[in-house]
Amino acid sequence: MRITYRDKAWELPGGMTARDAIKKVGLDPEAVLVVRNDELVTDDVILGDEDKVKLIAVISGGGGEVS
Amino acid sequence: MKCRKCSKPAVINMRQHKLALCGEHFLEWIPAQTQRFIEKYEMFGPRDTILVAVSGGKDSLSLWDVLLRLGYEAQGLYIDLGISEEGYSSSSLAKVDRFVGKREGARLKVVDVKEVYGKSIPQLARERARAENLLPLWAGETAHNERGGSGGRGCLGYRTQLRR
Repeated sequence: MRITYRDKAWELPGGMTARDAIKKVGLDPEAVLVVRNDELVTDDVILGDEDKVKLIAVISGGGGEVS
Repeated sequence: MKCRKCSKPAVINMRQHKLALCGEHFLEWIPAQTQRFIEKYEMFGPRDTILVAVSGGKDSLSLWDVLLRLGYEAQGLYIDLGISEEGYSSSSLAKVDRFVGKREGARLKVVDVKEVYGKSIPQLARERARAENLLPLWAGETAHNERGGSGGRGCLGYRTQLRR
C-alpha cells in the first residue's frame, strides 16, 4: 500500500490495521485521519496491498498546508 | 467499527466521546455539538451576524459551513496577505471562492493587504528585517544554526541578530 502524509510517502505491505501502519511510519494515530481510496475510514480497518492511503492532520493552520 | 446510531460502517471514531459515527450521522452530530457550545458559552444569539475569518483550510471553512447549516447569518472574511511563494495566497483564496460558489447564502469579504497598505506582508517583513538588521529564521533552524540570506523561500520570519 502507499501511504502519503503532506509531502511524505511510504510503501508498506498490506494486512495490517491503519492504526498499526500509522505507528509504523512514526506518526501519532490520535493526530491524523485516515482516507483510504478517497473514503474516510476508522483506524481499525485492515489495509490491503493495493490501497492508497492519505493521512490528514487533525490540527493544522498557522501558515501550514492548505488542504 | 460500526456507527453507534445506525450500524453502518463508521468513518470516524472519537475516543474522547467514546463515539463512532458514519458520515451521515457525523454531519448531524457536529452542528448539534457546535450549537450546544455556542449556547453553553453564550457566544452569540440567532439574530447576530457572525464574521468568520477563513484561510481556505479545512478548519475555518468547516466552521463557516457548520454555522451556515445552523442558520446563522455567517459571513466570511479572507485577508489576502500577498504571499506568492508556491502561490500560497492565490491558491488559498481559490479554495475559499470554490466554497462560496457551492454554498448558497455564503457572502465573502476579501481584504487585500497590498491594496490597503501598499505592500504585501512578505514585502513589509523584508523591509522591517532590513531596517532592524534582523536575521531570517529558517524551518528547522536553532538559535545557534544561523545562515544568511534575504528571507526568501522557506523563511519563516525574522529574529534579532545574535551577538557573540
